[in-house]
Amino acid sequence: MSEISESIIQGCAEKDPGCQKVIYEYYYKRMYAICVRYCGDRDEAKDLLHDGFIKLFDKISSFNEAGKLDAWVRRLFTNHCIDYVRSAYKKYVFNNLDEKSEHYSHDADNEQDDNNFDPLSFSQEELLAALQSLRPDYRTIINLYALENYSHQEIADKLGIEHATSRSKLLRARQALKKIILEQTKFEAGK
Amino acid sequence: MKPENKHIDELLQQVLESAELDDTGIDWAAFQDRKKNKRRALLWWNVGAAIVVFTTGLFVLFNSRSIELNTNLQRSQTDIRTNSNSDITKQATENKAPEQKVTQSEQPKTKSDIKVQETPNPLTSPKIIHLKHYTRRILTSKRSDFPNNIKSKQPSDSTEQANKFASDKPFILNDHEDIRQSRVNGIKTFAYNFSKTENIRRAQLKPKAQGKNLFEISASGFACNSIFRVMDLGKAFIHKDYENIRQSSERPIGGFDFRMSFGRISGKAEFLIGFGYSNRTLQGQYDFIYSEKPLIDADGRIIGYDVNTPKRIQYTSRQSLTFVEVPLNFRYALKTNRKGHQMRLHLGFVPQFLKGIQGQLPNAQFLDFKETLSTENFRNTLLGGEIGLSYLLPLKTGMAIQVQPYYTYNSGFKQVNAYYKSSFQYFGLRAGLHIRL
Repeated sequence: MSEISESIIQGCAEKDPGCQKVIYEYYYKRMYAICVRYCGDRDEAKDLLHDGFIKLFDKISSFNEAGKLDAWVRRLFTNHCIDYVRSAYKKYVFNNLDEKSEHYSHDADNEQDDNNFDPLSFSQEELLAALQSLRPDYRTIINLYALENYSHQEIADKLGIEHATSRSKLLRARQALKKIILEQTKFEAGK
Repeated sequence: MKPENKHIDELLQQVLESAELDDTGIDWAAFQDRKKNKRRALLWWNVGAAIVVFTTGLFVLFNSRSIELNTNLQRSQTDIRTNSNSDITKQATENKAPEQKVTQSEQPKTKSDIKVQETPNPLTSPKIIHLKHYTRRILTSKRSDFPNNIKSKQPSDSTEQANKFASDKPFILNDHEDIRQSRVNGIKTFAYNFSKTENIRRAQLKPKAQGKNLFEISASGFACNSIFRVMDLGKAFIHKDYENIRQSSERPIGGFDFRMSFGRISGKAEFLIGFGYSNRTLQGQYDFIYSEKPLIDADGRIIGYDVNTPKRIQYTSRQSLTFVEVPLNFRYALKTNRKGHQMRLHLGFVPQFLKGIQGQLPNAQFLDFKETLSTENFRNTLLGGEIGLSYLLPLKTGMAIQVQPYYTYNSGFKQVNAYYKSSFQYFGLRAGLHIRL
């Protein structure tokens, strides 16, 4: 349940700095984690966080979903991060012609690992660092699929790519992330 | 606890779904600073755009006007008796100076390329990230094929597991050598081999640079020395005493200018282009004997002089000239001390276009006739060169006071029919604000 009351939201819509500060301090750590997930760099993530809050305070007057502020803020920041990634890395390869869709496996979504991943062995920092090491397009797609629960069609619409490209990139993203995590585990074990 | 088989997606969801991160530079105060900087940057963009539009409009206006110089001198019919008994009668003629079109050079475009960038924080000092307590939550999914058997559950030994992520235990991110190296060098040292494109991109990653764009606003005062000279072309059309009278009678009083410039820093060098307004004032104290009246032919040339009853011509006139200028400046940092005070070599190239002129002076042919100066009959475009030293005294982030003594020489290259030329040379002192964006 959100701890932000209607009066705070109303105050924010009226550009009251005190109310804005309350909302900022309530959400900034969570939203910073979201921004870090999408960015390759902490400094970029900080800029993205601040720009996201500027956008939030501009648009909060149009918020009218009672009791769903958390979801609204999260959705706003996710869309903000996606827009940023698309423009910052547009020369990159969201629609890389080298990606061969025939390598896509129909079972990619339900593929089972041979690897054992004990979530308690991994800290947030380690996983975030591993995510940041991925290519921007892989990082974005795995964020949208695994963490934001977007379907492939929704990802394709969001990023302006083909449905098959989304599937194949997700597969490669998982493989890349697994490799990084396993190397990380070996590195830690070797210490 | 027995490790479970976990899909990578599930791992990410378990660990990162409701993650919270803290860091330096993301608190409320930092957010307020960023908002302020953004507003300031927007303001300067608007100022720059307004100046570009205004300057472009001004020079389109200047270039579209062609100045026709049309000097009409009316002379009364005179009978001239010579000693040789022949009477020469000259009819009054309307002497039209050849029409002259004056066009101006095109104004160089002003660059506006202002971009706000923050000073980077190079990865030399470790960042301490405070971990929050590990939390779990029940996962929900929009996808029908998503497994529904993931439920929130407490670890069997919650105290021990929670202690692992206790918030008083700092995680030194940069202690992890691979992470630090991959971000500093841009070359991935993790096991995963990126594509060539990605490796090139990472190799090119650099820390964010300091602001390289400049904005300057300044004012200057000077005492100018004017030099008047009749060109060879003009000698046939201008009274033989005119040059001496002007040189001996006119004294500079002083002048001032205001300038706004935009530019860019490149290493130790700065390049700026701007827009300015200047004014210089001369005092003309005319006191001479006029005894030789010129004889003019149909083309306006002086063919001889007639000795007249001498008369004393005496008057004073303050002449004021205002110019619009487009300064192009280059500066090179010679020396910087520990406090950030900087001494720089300043070189400038300043085209100046006459915008207004006031005052009176003797007519170039008939010295007893007072000619009123106006932009209709007087056109002056100057090219100026400046050299000086510029001192920067820093104030706070990105701002500095600039003090600049300089010497300038401005030479007119298009004057009335190109018959004579006025040049100005002076020492001046400029002071202003130098802002790094």
